[in-house]
Amino acid sequence: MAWGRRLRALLFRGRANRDLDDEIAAHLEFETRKYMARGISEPEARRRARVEFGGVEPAKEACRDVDHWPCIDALLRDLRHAGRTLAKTPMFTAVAITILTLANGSNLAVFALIDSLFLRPLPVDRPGELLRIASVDKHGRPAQLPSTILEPLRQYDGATGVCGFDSSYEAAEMNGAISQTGTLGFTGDCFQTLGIKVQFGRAITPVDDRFGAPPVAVITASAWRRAFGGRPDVLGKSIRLPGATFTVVGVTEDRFDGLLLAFPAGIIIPLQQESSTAPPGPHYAWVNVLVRRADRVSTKQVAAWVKAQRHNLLEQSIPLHAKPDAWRRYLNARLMVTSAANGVDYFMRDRFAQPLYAVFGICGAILAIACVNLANLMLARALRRRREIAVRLSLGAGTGQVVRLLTTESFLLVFTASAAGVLLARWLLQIVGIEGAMIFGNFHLSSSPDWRVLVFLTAALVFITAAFAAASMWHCRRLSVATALRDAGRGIAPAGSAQRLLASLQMGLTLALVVAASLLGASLRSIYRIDLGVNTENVWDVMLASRPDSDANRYATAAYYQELLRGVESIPGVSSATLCDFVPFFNGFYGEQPVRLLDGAAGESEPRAGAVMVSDSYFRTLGLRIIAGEDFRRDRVDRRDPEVILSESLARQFGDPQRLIGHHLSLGNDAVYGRLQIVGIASNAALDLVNPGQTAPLVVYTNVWDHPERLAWYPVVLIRMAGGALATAAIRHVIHQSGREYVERINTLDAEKDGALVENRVAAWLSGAFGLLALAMAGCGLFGLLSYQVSSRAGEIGIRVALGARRAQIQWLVIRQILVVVAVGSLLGLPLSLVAGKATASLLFGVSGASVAAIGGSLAVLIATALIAAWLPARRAAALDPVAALRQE
Amino acid sequence: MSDNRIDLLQGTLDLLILRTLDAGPMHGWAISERIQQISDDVLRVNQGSLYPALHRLEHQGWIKAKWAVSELGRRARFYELTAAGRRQLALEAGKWARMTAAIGRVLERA
Repeated sequence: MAWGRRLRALLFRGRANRDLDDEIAAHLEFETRKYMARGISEPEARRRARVEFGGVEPAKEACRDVDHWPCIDALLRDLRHAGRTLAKTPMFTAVAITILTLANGSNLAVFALIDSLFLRPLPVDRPGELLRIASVDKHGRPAQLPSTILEPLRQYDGATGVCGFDSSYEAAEMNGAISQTGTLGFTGDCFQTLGIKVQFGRAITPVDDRFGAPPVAVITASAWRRAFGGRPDVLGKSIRLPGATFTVVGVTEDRFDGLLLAFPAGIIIPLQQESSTAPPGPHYAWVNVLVRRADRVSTKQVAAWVKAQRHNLLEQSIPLHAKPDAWRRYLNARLMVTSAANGVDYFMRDRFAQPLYAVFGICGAILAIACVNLANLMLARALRRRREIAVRLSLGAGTGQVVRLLTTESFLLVFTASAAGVLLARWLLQIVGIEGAMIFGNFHLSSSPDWRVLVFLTAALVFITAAFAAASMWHCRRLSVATALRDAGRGIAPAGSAQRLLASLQMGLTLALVVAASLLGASLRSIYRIDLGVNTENVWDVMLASRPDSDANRYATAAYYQELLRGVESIPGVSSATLCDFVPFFNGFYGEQPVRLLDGAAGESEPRAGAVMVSDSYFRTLGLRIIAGEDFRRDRVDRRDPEVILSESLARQFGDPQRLIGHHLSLGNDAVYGRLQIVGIASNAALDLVNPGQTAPLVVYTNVWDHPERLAWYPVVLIRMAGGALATAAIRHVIHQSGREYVERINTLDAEKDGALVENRVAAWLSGAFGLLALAMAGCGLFGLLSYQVSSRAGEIGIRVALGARRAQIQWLVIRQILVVVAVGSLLGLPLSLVAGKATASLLFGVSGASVAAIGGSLAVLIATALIAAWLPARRAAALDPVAALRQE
Repeated sequence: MSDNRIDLLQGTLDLLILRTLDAGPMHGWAISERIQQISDDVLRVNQGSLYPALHRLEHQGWIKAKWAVSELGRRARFYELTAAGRRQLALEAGKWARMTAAIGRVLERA
């Protein structure tokens, strides 16, 4: 009740004050009438009433103290005052808020990305207890294990639960609409082990995860809302995935959106119900193994147990149907134990950790520069306001009140900028989401703010406010009333050492940022300049995916795909079209396979090469040359051995390319590729940008027409246009008419290339933009500093001129200041630049992190900026009329 | 007359206000007049502290206020005891009685 009254008093301040005035006026009037009733004249009665009452204003003040929150009152007063003060210098305020908004927003956005990529826990029960057990691939990354390993792992009493899952991204038909949906295959104990709850219906249990059990699915809450409009009658509905139909039995709780980092899931099915190419019957799958450790054991203890039991675990889990050399390799696998608390990640962290931290560093640097720059401006303002503050102090304001005033101003600035920064960050994250979806398809980072982001934001707010307030107070601290009043507006220059130091620091940080920007820019340019051996211009890629409503394997024949290709080729404007099983620059090679020459033609060498499947016209479409032999033919009649074409780089490993034509080789351990005939050698071409320096990768091209059923796993059409854009409606029509697939994604190869370089591009653009911003801030900062000095030293300069100083000497007086600042700044900046070079090293290609040219060039740009900033104040100083300057004294 | 006047003890003003309002709604000036009247001009309410006390009691929820027209035809703010205020009055009055009795006993017998 009291609370409500106070709130009213706060909101309707005017009315509350009027009421109080009226109440006391009434009292005085009654009192006056009392005296008048005793026969006293009105003026005298009025006087007595007032005397009787005592101090009216103190009484009102005491009432207001009861009615209001005195502290909030004071705060509002301070805020209003700070707002008025800031409004008096609109340029300063606008610049400060803009700069801080940019710096704050970008930092917040990057931190939110880091948070969702590395810090956010899995949306399951007690995620901290979850560990992933994985084999180690040749890059040292965790890889999947066969589901057969779950059984021996269950014997471990240090784990309270063991389960496995795999993932796919397939066309699903839900409620009559087809969409690509992330799908998780769960072993029967996943729900229980991970602690995922269903909001209604039931979870998948071990009974469902058996061969021959009726196919059931649980859908996530987001899929339920998206596809079924959140209707409760979803239980019992059917959803179709390629090859099988599932009955929905449950919907997960809202928070659960998948287990894979950045790739949300919509459908969860039992692992044994996944459509597979394995023969009917119980089978194993390669899964991500998760265990929940018991409370009493640590991660280290689990890792030690796995290490000790490695041989047993592997021996008891040799994949069924594996051939002897495959299981020998399997027994040699290394096992690793990592935390799964933040989700299972296939490649996101690997690919984006370093770029993200580099970008975070860049954003942090711009925030630091912005702070230093604004602190410096604040100092200049504080100096200009010496008189005002001195008057306040002499009128009895305590130092505390002055400090509060200055802090409130800083807070108001920083708070406004933070609010705008939050909007900016949201916008940036939206762009990241859209870009990510374009590059990766199924992509979603949950970037809704969690407590870590809020803590970060608050910490930034407090820190910046404190820094500004400290800068403003620096001078007030030393301000004695008398000297300030006397000096203000007069010619004696105040000591600017703090300002000069800050300006130097800003120079140093700016130098580092400009160096980083020039390195990243040069690196990006040199990547785009690389001759990849592929002509990507006017080439489009069309990714196809199986329709859930078609019989998956029935049409996957050479005749079917040739018909499809003819349809594509008949679209107007198409100059050539080809089929392959990967999208250049989008997928890397799916693991390299050993290549062995047969027929005794081999030397000792057994190189490993990337294997891709392509049809005829592939080389023509991408602008590769056949340098020996011939291209695959669509209408080949003599079906002898399956054919291959080698890249020139691979062919040279075996000697003279020309002599290889007609020889045979085997690829990997797959029986289908046991004997392949070399029909041609193609010019070198880089088909991914994982390692941009590698422009002559070893590649084996197998012929689509020899293994059309394998193309069905991942069919891609590449189309070269004679010019103009691809008619997407026409291509969709052709694919739909063919019957088996639908178009999942259409893109240009140039866009795929940009997508592959997204981290380099973002880093280069961001650092470039921020480098320019930092330079502008440095220039403005120096300009402000010098202009202020010139105006505050006008008297001194006037005396010098009057005593015969020449123009050049006066100009030198100003420029000299800059040189000191730039020199100190460079000294500070050089080590910072080297750090910047090191931090961005993972993104650099074709330039060294410690490039002399980059550092020298950046230094030159910085000095030029400083000189331009100094030129105007120096000219003004030199043009100063001594008479006018001295008269001001 | 002025010799007889006693300034109120700290904290007793609230009690007197509550007791006075027990008789019915009243505006500030009437409260102060009534206290003086009933105490035969012995107790003197410092009018400067009357209004803050009224506002404080209002915040505590023991009295409530509304604007009304007084007997003299002027708009004034009338205060009225709430149920909580009535309970508080009983409590405070009991305390006061016990305290004065105890002080009386000490003064008599010590």
